Amino acid sequence: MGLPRHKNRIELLQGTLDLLILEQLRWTPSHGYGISLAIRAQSRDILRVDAGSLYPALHRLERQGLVRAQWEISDRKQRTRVYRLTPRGRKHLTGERSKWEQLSLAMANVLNRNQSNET
Amino acid sequence: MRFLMWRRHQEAQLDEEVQSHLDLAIQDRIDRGETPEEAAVAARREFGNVLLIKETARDMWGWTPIQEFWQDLGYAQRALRRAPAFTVAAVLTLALGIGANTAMFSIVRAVVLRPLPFADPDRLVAVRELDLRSATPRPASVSWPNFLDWRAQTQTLEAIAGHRAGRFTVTGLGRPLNVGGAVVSANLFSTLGVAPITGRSFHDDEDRPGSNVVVISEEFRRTHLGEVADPVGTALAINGHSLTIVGVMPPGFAFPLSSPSPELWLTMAEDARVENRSDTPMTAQRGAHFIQVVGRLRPDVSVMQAHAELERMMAGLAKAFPADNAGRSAEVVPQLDAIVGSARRPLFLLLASVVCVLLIACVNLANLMTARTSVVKVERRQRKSAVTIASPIVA
Repeated sequence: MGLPRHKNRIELLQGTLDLLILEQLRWTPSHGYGISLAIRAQSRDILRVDAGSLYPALHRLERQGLVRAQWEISDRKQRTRVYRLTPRGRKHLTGERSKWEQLSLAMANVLNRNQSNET
Repeated sequence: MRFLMWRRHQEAQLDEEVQSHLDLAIQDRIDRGETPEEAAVAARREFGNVLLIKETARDMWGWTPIQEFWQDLGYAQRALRRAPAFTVAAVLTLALGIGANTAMFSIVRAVVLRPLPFADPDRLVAVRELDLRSATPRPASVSWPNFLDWRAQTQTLEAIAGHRAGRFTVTGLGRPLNVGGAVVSANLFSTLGVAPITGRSFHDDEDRPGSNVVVISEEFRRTHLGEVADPVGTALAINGHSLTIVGVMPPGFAFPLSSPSPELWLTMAEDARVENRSDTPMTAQRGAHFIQVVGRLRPDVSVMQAHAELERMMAGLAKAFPADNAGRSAEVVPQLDAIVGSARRPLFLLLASVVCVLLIACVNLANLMTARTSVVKVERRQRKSAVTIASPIVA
């Protein structure tokens, strides 16, 4: 078919972007560009976070006090705005993560049952 | 203001952040072997619409309500221009509602809310006799002897003055004039805390019969004595008696509040005059209740205290002069209440009713708009179904 690869991309579910961003910041602080690269790499190029969604989301999370931003100079001498998880963000992440796990388990159960009925 | 500065700061931050993102992306691409030009173009393309990002962020910061308001305003303007008949109806409806409210509120403000134009109006009180013989005690005028006794005895009022409105015939100024005025106790002006702009106020002994003095209003001076350089000292023939002008009150001064506004003030000497020697003048009759009384509370005295004192004094006077004062008491009320008095409730009722009229106008307008939109919708649906019906034929 020769479809461009990005056609295989999956639209992010509402609310999952926050979860992805917070998860990226769980271990190491990062700037917006780094977050988008990491999400893309870890999802094996399936999830591409659009800058148009990423930055508004980051600013929203900042306003909610879940992340904290700071201007820093990167190791390549570039000024970047680095985001860190706040304690509240960490707590929020734990909650959202378990919600997501329940949801995906539930989805899997429903889908698998249908599959077994068909076969 | 601080919000604006915060916004500007926020916008600058976002700009810088977007730039930093692009720089990082370009650097990565150059590292992978692209030329700087290629890298810049590709990075920008990958990044997407910068304006869109800013717009989304702006939404989040909550600036847009104001911008949206302007857009709404523009939209409203266009919509109104498109439907002139509707616009006229809407504007008229609102104009009537708002106009009625403005008019009514002006009256309420002038009558009820604005303080009296005298010194310390809060401390001015009206003192009235109360007729206890009717089922509900009825406020009544005061007789001059009772007033004099109050004035001699009171501890709660630092000043107390009497007045009655009347009409007077002025001759000698071309055509005879009939003007509104008042007969007042000599201390009325000092009680109110208002002084004449020229000349003097009355002396206390000018209440006595035989004194012939008058104070005129600035309006009277301007209208009838325009050519007289200094009216003070001029004689004026009032009700056939020659009175000397001693003072001119400031423009706008009107007390008692009567219609038309008083233009002349005469002292009680006017009512002490008798035509026949055998007559008893009004001012000597304890049973002649014909004056209104205004008092000024001492600074540390409440209306209630003054009221209690007046009741007590009047009880004494009723015992001393049962023929004239039996079944009478006295009351003290704030002067503003006494003037506005019974008019207050109907005024507020009227105000409330015009507010309701405005609300009804708004409801009508809303109805009108609903009706309009549904008509437009039906039209559009008809047009749409016409298209639907037509399309198979075209196909």
